[in-house]
Amino acid sequence: MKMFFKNVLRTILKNKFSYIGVILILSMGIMVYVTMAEYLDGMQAAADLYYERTNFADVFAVVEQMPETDVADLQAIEGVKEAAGRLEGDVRWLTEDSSDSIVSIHLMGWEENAAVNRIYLWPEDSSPSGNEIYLSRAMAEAHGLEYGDTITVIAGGRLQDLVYSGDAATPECMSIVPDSSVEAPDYTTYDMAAMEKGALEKLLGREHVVNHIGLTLQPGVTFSDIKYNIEAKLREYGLYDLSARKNNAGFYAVQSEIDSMRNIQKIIPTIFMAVSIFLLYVMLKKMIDKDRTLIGMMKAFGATNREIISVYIMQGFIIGLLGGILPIPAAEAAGNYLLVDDALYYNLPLLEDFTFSVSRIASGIGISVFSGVLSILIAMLDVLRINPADSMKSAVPGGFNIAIPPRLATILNTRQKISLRSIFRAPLRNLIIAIAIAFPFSMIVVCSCFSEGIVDTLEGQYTLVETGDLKVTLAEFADKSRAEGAIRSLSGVTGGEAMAEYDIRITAGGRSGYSSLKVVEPNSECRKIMDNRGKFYEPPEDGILMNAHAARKLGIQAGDVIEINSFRLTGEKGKAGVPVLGLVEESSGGCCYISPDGLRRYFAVPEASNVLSLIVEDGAKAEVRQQLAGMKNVLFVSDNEQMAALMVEALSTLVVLMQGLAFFSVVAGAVMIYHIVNISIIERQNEFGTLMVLGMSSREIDEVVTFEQTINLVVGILLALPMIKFLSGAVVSAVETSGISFNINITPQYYLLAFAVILPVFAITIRSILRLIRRIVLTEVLKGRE
Amino acid sequence: MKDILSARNLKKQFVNGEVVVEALHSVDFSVKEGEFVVILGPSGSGKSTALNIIGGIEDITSGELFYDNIAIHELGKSGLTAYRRKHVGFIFQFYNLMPNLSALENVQLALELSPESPMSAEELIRAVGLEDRAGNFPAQMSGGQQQRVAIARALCKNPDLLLCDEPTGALDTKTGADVIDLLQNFNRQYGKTVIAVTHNEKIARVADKVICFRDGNIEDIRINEHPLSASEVDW
Repeated sequence: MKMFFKNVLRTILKNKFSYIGVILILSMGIMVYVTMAEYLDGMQAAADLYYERTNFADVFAVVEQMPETDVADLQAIEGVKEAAGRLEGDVRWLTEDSSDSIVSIHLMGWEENAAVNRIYLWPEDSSPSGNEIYLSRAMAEAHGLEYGDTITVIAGGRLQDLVYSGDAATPECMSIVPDSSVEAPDYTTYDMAAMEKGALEKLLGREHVVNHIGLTLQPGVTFSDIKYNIEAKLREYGLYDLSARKNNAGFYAVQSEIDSMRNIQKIIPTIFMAVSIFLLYVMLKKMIDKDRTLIGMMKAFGATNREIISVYIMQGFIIGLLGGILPIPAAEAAGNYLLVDDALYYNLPLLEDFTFSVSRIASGIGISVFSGVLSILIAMLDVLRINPADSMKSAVPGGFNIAIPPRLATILNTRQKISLRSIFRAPLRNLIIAIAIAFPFSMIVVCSCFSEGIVDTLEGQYTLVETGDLKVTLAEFADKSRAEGAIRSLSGVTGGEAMAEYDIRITAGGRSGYSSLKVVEPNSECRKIMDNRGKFYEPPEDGILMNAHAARKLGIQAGDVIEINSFRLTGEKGKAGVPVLGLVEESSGGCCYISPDGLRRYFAVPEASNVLSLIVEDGAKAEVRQQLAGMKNVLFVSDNEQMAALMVEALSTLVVLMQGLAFFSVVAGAVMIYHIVNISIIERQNEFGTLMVLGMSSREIDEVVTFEQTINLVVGILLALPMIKFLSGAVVSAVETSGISFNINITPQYYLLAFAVILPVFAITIRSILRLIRRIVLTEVLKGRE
Repeated sequence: MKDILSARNLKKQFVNGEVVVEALHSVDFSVKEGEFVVILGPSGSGKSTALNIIGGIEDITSGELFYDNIAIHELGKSGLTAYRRKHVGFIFQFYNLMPNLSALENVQLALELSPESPMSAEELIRAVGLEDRAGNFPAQMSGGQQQRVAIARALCKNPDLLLCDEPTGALDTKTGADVIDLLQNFNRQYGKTVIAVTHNEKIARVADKVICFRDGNIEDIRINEHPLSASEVDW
């Protein structure tokens, strides 16, 4: 079989561009797979190592305050393994530009050998003492600080100088915001920092108490097993929040991103690989079909199927090997880029080098080789089944014997009829071309829609929902009328509202969870309630509206009456039954809404505010910020415009990935369209030669090919429609795990965009194919058997 | 009968890199209207090259070739296409039928290109004795049946000049004889000129004129005063 193998090798060399195309398509599938695996495995491994080294808690509780001596009692609860408490609190940092900017730091008390939720410090083996502060690296870099620099903070109305002596990080703060009124982290204005426990207690004036508690659980024990026992124990300390690790803000931010990416990883590379394998099969089948006679001859000479297969398997193996190896360096680089970029965004320290994994690379190459060999085997099935005599003849076409309807026949000219007949008789060939068009078309539509849709959704949150210009988070609740007076006193502010957001615990049908209750004025200028289809709702007074995502988690439906418990609204042990009037499918968030009248009706509390939304004159933001900086109760000021940009940035990895996939789809599509059309034309050289001999001019042949391929283009675009529906649904549900819900609104412009990208690719392909046909040497092609 | 085809100093060279192969060395010949001409010669003698040049699918290195009053050697690509479309019918050794079209459709295809044909596709299929196989695809027919379809396809254009390249080369004796019979009928019944290239000397017996090629030269041109009919030849 040596000479037969040599012949196959020479055939490969002769058709090298087709084989390069096959390898390229396979490479793209592997590149997408390895890039995402590299990025996601790296993120997961980095996060897991981080959790392990910091002994990240399984359960988190936030209380008003608890004597530190009582923390050890929590370990007596059955199922609790370790417990640790920590004092945490926000302070204002007077930065150099603090006259118009408010920067706050979330300080955490550091304790050597803390049992749970240890704070990670750099330089390693260092520890804060006295007035030393360890800032998050992102915040320190954003403010250009160097070790030894002094910063001034306001705590308890006093100024205090602290020395920046190192960097700190903790998994809870991988995504940190001042409170639920702020939706995206902004490390330039709010981030964590660590101080020695005793020094922090003095700074905050709260000695020997803790307000954040972390618990680890015994093996096999879950949060729901011990939730009620912990709640019962902590309620006397003013329990604000109790959550499992999965609902911890830092963990949730990273894990939901990993999970949504994993969902996308399941869909997109699978589609890429499926398309790659399909095309590989098609191309190899076409190539093997060309060897039909040769295979028949080898059989006639006595070669066994196994001997013949082994030669072609070697071909598939080499293709698969090259397709697997070639994209690895680029995939590793791309995956590593995404990993480092995302880790930086989440303050996730890369404690070890996760960039190289033999098993990941081996699996990529393995999938590629498997695809190559499998495609060859399937492609050979038909050829191997036939007997040598049959293989010497051409195969009987399997198309439909459909006559062109008479009315259509009168409209079409001869060339068009030839085209149409050719399509009917070789439907598979044309279907494959149509699929090659449909795949990149649908990917371009979905990926571009996704990128724009998600950006529009997030920006819409700050143009249609949060319609104020600046949002002010207060350190403490203030009397509502005083807060409104403060708004009126601000120069440069044309309007605004004092609002309130309460942390609440919801119980319904045996399930409970934590959320926040937003008190919104009816017909509010600054805060709307809008679902992801753009429908607006008014805050009710005879019940609440609830975020649908949060409601689903607790099994709540519209019409249910839920129990609300809140330290501020109902006291430690009180509760109020409130009907859920409706569920709102919001694009993000997870809170409940009520009007001020509704709040009075269900909760006997004085009207208070902890969030101010301000409408500012054009160009007056700096002036307003300056005034706010002088107010002691102001914790955080967020600019809605900036917040929109931050929200978009939070999903930038996903957006970049989707855009990258759209790009890959176009490249893969171009390769696919070119090669499939090319192969299909090459196998029809004899046919075109005969048409030329029968007297068809080059222009007429062009018309035959162009008409046929135009129909394929139209069918391809029609085929893309269900593919778009499927892909967009899959991507939307994949992203929903990250807490963002949005609708992909596919407007005609996206179809036009896809068409504008595909058409030139298609036109260039057809043009080069037509040139190929013009180069047909009649005497050569007509000499051989068809 | 007037000369319908005449070649003067016809030369054809194939250049492949530095290798130049002269397939035809300045040959001269002529063909009269309505003649049945057989071009005879061993492999590599230049007979197929000559036929391809006559059919306008191979260009001429030098010399002149006239069909009626058309200077073939001066025609460009589109002129040659028009010449083929209007005047020439081709039959190949390996039939070159459209694999995705049935026998009848293969003929209909040619009719669509030459709608002025006096016969319908069905009549032509019947004329070549394939009415029972009209719906069959080429892959479902024997070589002889495929060649008959190719003949029907060539004839449907009602060409003035029918060029056949080894029309029986891939067929058994009996089927080959039937094919020659069909070609001769076409020639005699309609007065059309037929030029067939072959290395089978027996076919030469049915020809009016035999042009013998060897090594790119015309070795001999002989006129058959009494050509036999296909059925009279001892195949």
